[in-house]
Amino acid sequence: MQHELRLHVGPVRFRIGSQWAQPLDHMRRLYADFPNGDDGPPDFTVRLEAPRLMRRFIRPQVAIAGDFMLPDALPLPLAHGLLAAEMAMNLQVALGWRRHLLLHASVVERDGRALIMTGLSGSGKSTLSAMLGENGWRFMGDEFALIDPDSGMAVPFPRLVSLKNAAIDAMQARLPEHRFGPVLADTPKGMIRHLMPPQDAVKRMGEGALPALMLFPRYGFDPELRAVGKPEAFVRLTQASTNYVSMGEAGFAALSGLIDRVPVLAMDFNDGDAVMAQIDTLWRDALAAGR
Amino acid sequence: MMLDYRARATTELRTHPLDEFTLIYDRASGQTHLLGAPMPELLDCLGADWESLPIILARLNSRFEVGGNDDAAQAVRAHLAELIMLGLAECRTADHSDAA
Repeated sequence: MQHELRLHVGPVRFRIGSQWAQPLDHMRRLYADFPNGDDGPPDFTVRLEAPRLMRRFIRPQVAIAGDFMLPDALPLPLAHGLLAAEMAMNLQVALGWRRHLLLHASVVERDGRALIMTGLSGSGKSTLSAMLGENGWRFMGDEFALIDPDSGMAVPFPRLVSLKNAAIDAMQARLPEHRFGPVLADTPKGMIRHLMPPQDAVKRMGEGALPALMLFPRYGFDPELRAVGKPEAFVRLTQASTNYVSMGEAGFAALSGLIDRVPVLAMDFNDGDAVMAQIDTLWRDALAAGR
Repeated sequence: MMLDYRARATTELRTHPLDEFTLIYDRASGQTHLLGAPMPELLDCLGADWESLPIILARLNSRFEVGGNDDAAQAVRAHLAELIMLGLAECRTADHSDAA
């Protein structure tokens, strides 16, 4: 393709091709700290291309293509090209990655152990991981938890954090402007702004961590904490996994092992600062119980 | 029609206890089953050899108080049918010619 970018994020090497320079220019800036992934063949190829020739030039639209595609995916305007690239990278991993069990979750690390947060879109898991990543935790990813089937370790996949709507203001108030991507207004999920992960997260993206606690956060509800039983946790995590079925017995072993070892809590919250303090307490308790 | 029952070979299934439930991974189909009582217990009572319902009932009664009346037999038969439907057990028309 006319423009190309190689990128190495965690264990995954991407090759991203584009008919326009703009989406890749944004990515080069936001992924500047990452290795370029030319030390081996790419695991996935992503292509950003016009759905029809005219749409390359007139009111340009970006369609997502690559090794794995969704036939019904609608093209996005070129102004949302960065979002299209991020979505395309997610899609390749969600549908094609087999080396780890994938959970739709964010992950942070402290004390050498990982905290996994999973929930539906809007649950606050991305924002929490971004906030924790700026407050003494190591950010490991906001989209996928990669669980190694042999060791049970969570493997970092520290992509850009996709901040949405109110979370954008919350993070802009705390972090310098150069950490953010362009404001993407009127996307299918409202306003989106991407946040560069902290440098430490990139530098240490080869270091996995054994999970010590799992949270099912839910933003916008009165604060409440509930222990989640293992059967319920197992069912919810199979739903949160994009490759549990295709991983076969290795996925079964990885997930049942994770559930056995790691306590799971459902956590409703409506205040970012209060929940940070609460997570600190839960974390101390989880580590103490695990000793 | 009398039926004999047996469990699928243990090499084809991988079980994992999960609190009061049991997870079973079926290697042949790739399906995961989450079974609650009394299904894991019943599956446990089935062996690799074909057995008749009265023998299975007797085996169940030696471990649990299932009872020996028609209601108990009917309930166990229904649960066996569910295990067969899930692909975790098998049945065949009873052949008791040796016993006759």
